[in-house]
Amino acid sequence: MSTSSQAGAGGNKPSAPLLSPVPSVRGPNIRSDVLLVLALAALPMLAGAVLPWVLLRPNRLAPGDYLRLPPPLMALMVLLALLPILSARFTPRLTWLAAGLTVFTTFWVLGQQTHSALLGQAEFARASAAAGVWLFGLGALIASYGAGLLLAGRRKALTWVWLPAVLILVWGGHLSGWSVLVEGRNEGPRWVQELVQHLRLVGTALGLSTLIGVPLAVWAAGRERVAVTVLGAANAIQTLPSLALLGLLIAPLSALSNAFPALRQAGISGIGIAPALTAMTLYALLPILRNGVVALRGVPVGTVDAARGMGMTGTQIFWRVQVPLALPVWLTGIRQAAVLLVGVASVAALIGAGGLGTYIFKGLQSAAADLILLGAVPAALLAIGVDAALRGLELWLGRRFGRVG
Amino acid sequence: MIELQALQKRYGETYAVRDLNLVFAEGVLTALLGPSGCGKTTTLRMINRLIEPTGGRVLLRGEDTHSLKPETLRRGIGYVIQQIGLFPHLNVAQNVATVPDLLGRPARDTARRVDELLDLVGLNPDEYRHKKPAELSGGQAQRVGVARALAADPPVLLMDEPFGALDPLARDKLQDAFREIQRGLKKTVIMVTHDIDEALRLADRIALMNAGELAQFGTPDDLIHRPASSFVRQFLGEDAALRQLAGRRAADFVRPGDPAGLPTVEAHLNARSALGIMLREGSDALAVTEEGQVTGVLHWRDLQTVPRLSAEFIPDERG
Repeated sequence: MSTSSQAGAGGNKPSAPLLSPVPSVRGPNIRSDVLLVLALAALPMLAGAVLPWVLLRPNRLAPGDYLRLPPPLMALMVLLALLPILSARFTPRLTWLAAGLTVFTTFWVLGQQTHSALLGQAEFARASAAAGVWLFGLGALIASYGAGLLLAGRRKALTWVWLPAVLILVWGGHLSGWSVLVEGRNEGPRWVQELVQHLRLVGTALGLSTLIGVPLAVWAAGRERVAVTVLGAANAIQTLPSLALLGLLIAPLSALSNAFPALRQAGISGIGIAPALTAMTLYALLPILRNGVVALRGVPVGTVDAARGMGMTGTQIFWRVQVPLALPVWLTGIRQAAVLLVGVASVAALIGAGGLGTYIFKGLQSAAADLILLGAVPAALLAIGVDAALRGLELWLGRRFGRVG
Repeated sequence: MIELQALQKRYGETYAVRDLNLVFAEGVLTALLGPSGCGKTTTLRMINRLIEPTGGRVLLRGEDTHSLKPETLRRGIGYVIQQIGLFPHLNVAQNVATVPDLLGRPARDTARRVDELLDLVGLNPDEYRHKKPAELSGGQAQRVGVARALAADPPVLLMDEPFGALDPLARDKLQDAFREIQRGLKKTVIMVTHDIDEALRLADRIALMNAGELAQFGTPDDLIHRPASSFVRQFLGEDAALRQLAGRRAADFVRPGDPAGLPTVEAHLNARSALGIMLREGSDALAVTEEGQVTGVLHWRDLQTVPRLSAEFIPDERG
């Protein structure tokens, strides 16, 4: 046996890679996959280029006119839509740049078009993004994903090359004519407050469910009947739609706060933060519990036996062996819970708990798409960001503890 | 060193181990041998109290192990199990340092001790110290397992099928390496195995168990030549003597003599191969060569005496 057997990848797996075809075959295969992805990306971009880009309305609620791109710009966008796939065909090394350029240009043209549409209009006029922007943007993001397939390791980060450029556009005011940012500017500090409230809801619920879930998982991991009961209960909660769970909590919590004035003074009532946090905490329990039990049970029996045989006490075995080995899988559960909570917190606005959901529901009530986006887009980005950050933490821990979990 | 007195483990109505009396002498390697389910692992685990007996006592240097805290007892006894026993999240050095760390020994002494032990088990410390178990082959992992068990220099070593999960080649090499280590250290070793060859190769004494009871206790020669029951004879098999030869090197039987005209055998081959050459060549003696140089002569009479070869294996066509 050689020492080079798959480093860090669980050495005991059957060594099938020895029999699989040589790596040189991989290149062309990946290349044809990428070409397919980039072709799929070109279609919405081509459609987007010829569709209207701006909806101009005299005010937030009035009907308005759809404006297409001027013909020279439209032709340019058609060419740009084909750039990633052409690049992948002839200069694959630069595909990331071509894809990044399409994403950046989407924002740049949006800013430029909204500004020119608003020239000479009244103060309350709004220029929103129309179908063309969305389709072209979607295609551009697909292209940027496809370009990422051609890159390996750290170079994958190059697919995000457009992000700093777009941030500079936003910062420099180039996109200030876009209706969503106009609404954002009008909301200003209140929007920041709702964002903070959203984060606070997610953080508190995640903290509470971790505090409850972690000891519960440790207790259940060694006891079959406890595990079945606890996981069954958490599973049952999870099957309830989040909106229904929030509704179900209103009655008992308002009864409680009516019966005990002290509770009401502490801010606990049928609507508001208390039921939202309760529901969110219950919701997040399942992934934390389930992954905790699975992770603790996944610690090899032989490893624990060896630890015991060498004279570790129960506490030492727990902290020195079981926790480090269970941590990566367990963190996956906490990450799932966090992402779930970002979503549930958006719904919590319905019962007055605040958060970014406030804008979504306000926008739905007044049929103002820009308001909806003001809540929905940051909530979505938040979920993606939380997921990426915790995923990074998992990878780091996995590498540190010699296990890719 | 270790004495089992009327040791017993009962699960409900069935006995896993029943009325077991055994003495493991100091510095002796004893194999607990037997078919699966015979209670050998249970016996081993009762010695370091991973399993509590339901009757009888275990004495360690005359002291009842029940009077010690289990953790204290276990820290004083080396313990090796199949390779899954390494801590996958710790590197080789940290794995080996486990028991010294538990005992609170100074880190600098332990680091030196770790290097010493890695050398002893045939792993270059500079190369292996920082590797994770997943980067080791089965044989290397098990070497680390042996080093880990020896780290706190315990007088007693318990080994549960230590070489069981290895491929035959790695197992042979590791058995040889372990025999050399044991020759130098003279630990009191108790090794559970179901592999007769392993017991014959490594053990000074064999305790053969069957259905929770001791079938026979003695030297490998005793079991082969003076089986106490038909079970012992059947378990060892009719070719036990040959298997025992397989565990010795031709070089072990060399004596001075005239090698002229004799077929040759290389010194590193095992004695069974030497016997095979004798049968093939129709000769009752072989010239033993080492790197092309003749070192002496091997007579089949010697193969017969140490250890004796039973009658049915005397070749008829000797020259």
